[in-house]
Amino acid sequence: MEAYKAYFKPPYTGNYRFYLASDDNGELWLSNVTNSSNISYLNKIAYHYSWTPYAMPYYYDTERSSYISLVAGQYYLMNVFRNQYTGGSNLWIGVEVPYSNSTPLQTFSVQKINITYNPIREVQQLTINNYKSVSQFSIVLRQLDSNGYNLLI
Amino acid sequence: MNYNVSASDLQTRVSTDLVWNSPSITQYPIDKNGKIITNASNFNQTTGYTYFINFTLYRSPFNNVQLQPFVSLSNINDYYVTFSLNQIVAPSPPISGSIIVNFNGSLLNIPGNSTSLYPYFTNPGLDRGFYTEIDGSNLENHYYLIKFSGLINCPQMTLQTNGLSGGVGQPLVQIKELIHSSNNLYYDPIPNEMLFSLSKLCFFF
Repeated sequence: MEAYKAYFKPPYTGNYRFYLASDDNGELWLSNVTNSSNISYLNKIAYHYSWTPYAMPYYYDTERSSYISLVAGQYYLMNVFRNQYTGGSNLWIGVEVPYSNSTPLQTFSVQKINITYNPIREVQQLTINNYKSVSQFSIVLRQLDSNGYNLLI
Repeated sequence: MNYNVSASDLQTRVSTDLVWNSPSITQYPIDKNGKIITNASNFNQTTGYTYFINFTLYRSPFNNVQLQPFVSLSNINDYYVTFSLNQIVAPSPPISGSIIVNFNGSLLNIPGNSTSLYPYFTNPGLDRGFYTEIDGSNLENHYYLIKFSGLINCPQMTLQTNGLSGGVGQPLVQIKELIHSSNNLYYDPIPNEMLFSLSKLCFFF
């Protein structure tokens, strides 16, 4: 597990939102007390239990914090944890800063199209009858895909 | 194998070697005529078994596996062995058709089996847009995430027409806004001016 520690200093007083994406799972903690290194004031504000593609902190709802009121110029202890199991690896953190005069290029929207499909599942009936003897034998099941998969049972 | 391989053994082998979603298999004893024995008092007449293999994997837009195995005998020392494999229920075909989405006054026709949405979001009013698509773990749903930049008060997509088909009933389409655009500044990564290391801050510890 990796752990990172830093202090976040808000440039403006207002409501901030933090975003976390990592591969594999990660957690983002932020202190609710200013100018303190005491970890007992940390609160888990964003997390996810599985891997997330790079820079996509909207895979899971828990990857972005709620809006948190912070005071300009104060230091807020921030801890980040990330696990690495196998495969890809990354850690990504973003912040949304309150500022009313930003241009449209500095904001974004994420929308989701979800398609749910209620399938009919395949049923096959395999019958084996050995009505004269109980001697050993073998059968081969073959999956007719491009791999020509064979299974000996 | 013996003529009386258990359903759980067969299920283990099939799920390990053929499909990654374990099928459920039920086993019934049969008599010499191949009829299922339902009366427990006749179980001593059992000469074989029949297995119903219920596949949980099916043909999705992204996985059009042919689930049509066949059985052949090998190493047979006993010509009295008989077997058969029949498809009792055919799997659903992949999703077909398309949906029409209204975004900012533009009608976008998106096939239900798309693996890329880039061609459908070329609205010149957008600075950029990207998406990702995920198969659900059970392959019963998939979704697209679209990130729009460059539009303040970005309008929400709405479903104009659902022309999808496949499976039982019509596939369901839902559109949801996960993050609403705002006037806030957005930083990724967080700039140095807002982050400080412990060494810089030793004055108050």
